[in-house]
Amino acid sequence: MADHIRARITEELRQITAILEEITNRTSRWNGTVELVRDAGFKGLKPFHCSIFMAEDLAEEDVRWRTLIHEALHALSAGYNSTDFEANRGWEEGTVEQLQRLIRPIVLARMKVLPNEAAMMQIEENHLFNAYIKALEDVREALGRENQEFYLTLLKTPIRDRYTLCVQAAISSTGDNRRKAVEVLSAASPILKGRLL
Amino acid sequence: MNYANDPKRRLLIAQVLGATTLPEIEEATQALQQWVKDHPDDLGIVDGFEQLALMRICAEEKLTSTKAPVEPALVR
Repeated sequence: MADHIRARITEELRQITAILEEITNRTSRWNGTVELVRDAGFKGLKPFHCSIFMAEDLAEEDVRWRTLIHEALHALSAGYNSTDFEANRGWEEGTVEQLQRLIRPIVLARMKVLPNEAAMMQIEENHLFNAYIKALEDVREALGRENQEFYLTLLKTPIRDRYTLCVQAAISSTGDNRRKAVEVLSAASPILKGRLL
Repeated sequence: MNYANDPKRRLLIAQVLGATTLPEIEEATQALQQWVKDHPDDLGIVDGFEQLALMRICAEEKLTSTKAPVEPALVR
């Protein structure tokens, strides 16, 4: 694929990353390199080193924005390493995907991009990470936390400590709220570790 | 088409999100490829390939790190 397409995607990611750094108050670990992969299977991928991979055929599609923001958020996520990801993958993918959905309008408005929101929402309506998001939303509601703030707090908490953070918040609740939050966390925990069955 | 309530799809998602070993990841990847081939309009499931690719990296790293350490050569 032509170098100018990779250059455009790199520039889009650079702008997204700058806005996300401001919103999250964190520094990205992305090294500024984008690899466009032919016949990739995946749409986007942020391995545990510093590059970002993207499917070549997605580069021209309007729905690429959701993938770019998602992968850029992985680069801002605390404790993003293979060991902790494997053990807590829902705590990472659910957090990053839900945050992508929440802050995408802000990011794209600042970039003056008018995306095809309907196409992106169609993907998200039946997205397989919705199982993770549902579990996280149950936890958030049980803890009585505000939407965006909850996910930004998770993002800046190392992946391995996100469950403990929520347990501590549950324990510090009182009365029925405490019992309910602990129950919800117990139900969400296996799902967020990838055990849906 | 809305596939959200398809029981086969639910099982596939559980398989994809639950795969941790290399054989499980390979099996889930093949199952996901077949599903995408049969349901090309199901765009919500395609990001399963991202998680499987990451889990493959995790599994390969684990395999490498658990191999027996090589005896260092004697230095004269």
